Amino acid sequence: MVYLALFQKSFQRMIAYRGATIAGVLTNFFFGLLRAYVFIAVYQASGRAYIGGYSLRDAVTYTALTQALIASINLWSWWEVLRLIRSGDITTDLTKPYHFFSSWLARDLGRAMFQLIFRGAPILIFFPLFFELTWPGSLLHWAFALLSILLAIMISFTWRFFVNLAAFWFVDAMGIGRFAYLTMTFMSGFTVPVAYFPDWLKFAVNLTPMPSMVNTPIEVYLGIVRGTDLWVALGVQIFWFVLMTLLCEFLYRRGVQKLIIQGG
Amino acid sequence: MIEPLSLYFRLIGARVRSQMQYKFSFIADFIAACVGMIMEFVGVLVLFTHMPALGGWTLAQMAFLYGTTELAFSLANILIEGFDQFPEVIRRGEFDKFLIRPRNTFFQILSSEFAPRRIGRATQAIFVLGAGLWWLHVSWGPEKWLFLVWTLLGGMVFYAGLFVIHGTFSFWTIEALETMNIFTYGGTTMASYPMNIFSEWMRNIFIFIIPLAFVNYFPALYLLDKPDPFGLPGFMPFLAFPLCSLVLMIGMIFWRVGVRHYQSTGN
Repeated sequence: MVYLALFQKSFQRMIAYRGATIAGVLTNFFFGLLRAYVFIAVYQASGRAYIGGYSLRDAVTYTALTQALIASINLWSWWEVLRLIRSGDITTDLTKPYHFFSSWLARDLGRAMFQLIFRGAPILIFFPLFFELTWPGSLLHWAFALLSILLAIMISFTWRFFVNLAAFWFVDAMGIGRFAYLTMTFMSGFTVPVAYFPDWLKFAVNLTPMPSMVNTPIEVYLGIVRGTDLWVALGVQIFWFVLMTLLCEFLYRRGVQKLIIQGG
Repeated sequence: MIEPLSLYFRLIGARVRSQMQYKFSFIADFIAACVGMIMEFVGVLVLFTHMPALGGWTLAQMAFLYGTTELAFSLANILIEGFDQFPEVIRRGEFDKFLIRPRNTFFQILSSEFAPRRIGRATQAIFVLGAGLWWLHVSWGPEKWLFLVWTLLGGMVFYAGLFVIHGTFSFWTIEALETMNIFTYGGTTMASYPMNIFSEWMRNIFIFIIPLAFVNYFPALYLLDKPDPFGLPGFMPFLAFPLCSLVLMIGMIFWRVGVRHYQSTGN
């Protein structure tokens, strides 16, 4: 199947960037340590054992996990579709016998899978050299955590794809995109867990797909959402993935309809 | 001295004019950087809803730390954009054309780019720094205001030095360059928190090996009359500018080594 092949190729392509992978792990790891010390100081200063349902150990695990997931969830930069639209190279894709959105999803999952293994796992493996972490208690718990991470990656893809489509309508889509990515960093619960937010802000961000991209998989992993809440959390993730996919498909079709490429 | 300076302003002026042709793009980037980057400080605000002070630093004092390092960093970023873009020059094999021009290469790279689009980041830094100074009700004499300017200049020179070192590494490797982000982006993130919250080994690296603590931490101890928790000598804040300049000097020396090492990719 063509999508499986795209997935594989995209995974394999990443293998070529060995140096970049190691450099990325080191950088993410350093930021993880830095942020962990900030949380330790926060718990000391607050004098509380739990903040927003997180123990100190959970909060430190949160820093490790967010840093481990940066590469695969790809929070900050993804411009591939934007570049295709801007350069006009998208015409070659239009002639190819595959579904545009799905083809990019397959490629993105291949990339994400590589980065989950080679940029995510090392951080979780080496973090315990510095701090004690919380681990899922059972195999089933691990399975739910991984499922939630997979959904998070897929939702983040639909979001990035959506932002990239702006290039159909705006010449300066990159500025819009940068803005979208930076606000997402905060609203997804990457900077600080959503549970720490004041109630009104928590309410507001929970109306968006953002927390489903970072906050949800982490709370599933930590066991902060469990029982019925767990099913609700996964259901919300699936809801956002479906809704965003439909939105992307709709906008993509509209974009292609008005697309004019100067031939040559 | 006058001639290169006027040449610099002419070249930079041309860059600014060319970028200003895309007004909407400039505004979009400005808002993106301004609103987007301040989210980092909003994160700190959220943390402060759960505690009175962080490592003995109040919110206003934290705003001062954040504002000083971010302002110094973004100003360096605007000025030194050429070195930030330099890996791309190397990758495309375009460095040769700089070598045949009758000016030294450091000067050429410095004046090849200027990034007004990064003004947004500086603006949010000024905003947070201003808010911090307002909350702190500072009543400084002129010597402390001068010291603040001196500190910001030092920080700018420090980060500029790091960016030069970052760019120079691309003579050897493009792939592993991201590691330098630990010191540049990681540096300014770390400097927006008080040094005493970090573990000893981490702190010692950023005091004694890479003088990051001199960008704003030691100067802030002096400016805000805070005692030094490490019991280091009282003249530490005044070493800030000399040590920061040393980083830029090392960067410039490293650049010369890099240029000598350069072998063209050819075409």
